[in-house]
Amino acid sequence: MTHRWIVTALGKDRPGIVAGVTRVLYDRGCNLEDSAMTRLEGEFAIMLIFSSPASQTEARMRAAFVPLERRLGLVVHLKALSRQETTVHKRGRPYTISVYGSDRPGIVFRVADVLARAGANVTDVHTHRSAGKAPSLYLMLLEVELPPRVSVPGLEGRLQRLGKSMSVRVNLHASDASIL
Amino acid sequence: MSVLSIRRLPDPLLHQPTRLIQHIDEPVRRLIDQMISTMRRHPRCVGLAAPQVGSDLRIAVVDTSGHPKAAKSRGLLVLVNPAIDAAEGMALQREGCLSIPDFTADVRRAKRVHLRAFDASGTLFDCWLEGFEAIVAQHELDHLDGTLFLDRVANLATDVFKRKSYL
Repeated sequence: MTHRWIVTALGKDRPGIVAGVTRVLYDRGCNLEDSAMTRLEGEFAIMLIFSSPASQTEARMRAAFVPLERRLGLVVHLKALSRQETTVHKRGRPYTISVYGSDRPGIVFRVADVLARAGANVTDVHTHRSAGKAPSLYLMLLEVELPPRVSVPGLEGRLQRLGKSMSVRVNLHASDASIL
Repeated sequence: MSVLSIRRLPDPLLHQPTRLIQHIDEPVRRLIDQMISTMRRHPRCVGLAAPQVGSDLRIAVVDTSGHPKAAKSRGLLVLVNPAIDAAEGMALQREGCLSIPDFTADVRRAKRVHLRAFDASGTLFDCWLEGFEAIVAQHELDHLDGTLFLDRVANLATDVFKRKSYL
């Protein structure tokens, strides 16, 4: 019987991090599933779901990452996933939201708050702040799933009012699955 | 001929709708010439709209001649008070914009558009544009309505990319 895990790793960016983490998994006969790995300013961040053969106990898996932490200067967190955590939740309708404007405190929080109150589930977020000469531009892109009871025009109206109050542009589009 | 400086996000002028030109006078002709020079000054730029250079007039310039993506090109197009009154098909194209230097995005637009506009001498013309040229025209007309390609992103996973080479 296999086990499933999620591992996160954070560390100052440098070559060798992805190879280092995935080697630990490969050497133990593990299978990589979903992951998101990205550089955020000077840090590299990994979030990775994998399954391992039954022979890999929790203690063994944790021990496997210790040399890596030392060698690459990483902080690694391993969490065993229970059977319940691996069930896929019923999906709502996918929408993409873009928000952009002059950077100011509260953009991410206030948008996320409107979405949470509406019952929308945020599944993916990317933000970017342009560096260099002022004024800086803040861009946020979110993918959300809307349960059937959520009124899209109602949500759009709330987001537009929020956008006006914060001087940011907000757009909501049904996510386009087809490419051409 | 002078080159104008480009307004970049978050400049609010990029979201202002433009106003129709009543008469193509000397200041308007000078703006058109400056916009053409500015477009030519940026090697990969194929179009420019007046809000990008700080003007609220409804003018855009397009020139896709010699561009590898333009199978057909009408060369330099000066568009005064332009409008698209018919659109057909769908095309997906990676777009960039001088006003949004950090990003490119895949944007869905019409494959063919019917365009009406006045040219630099004030003569009304209309034509069908297709392919890359049609996309550029739609991008520039969006600018004249205060719309940017970031407003049209519909798919996060595939659509928005941090720019790898700089303008």
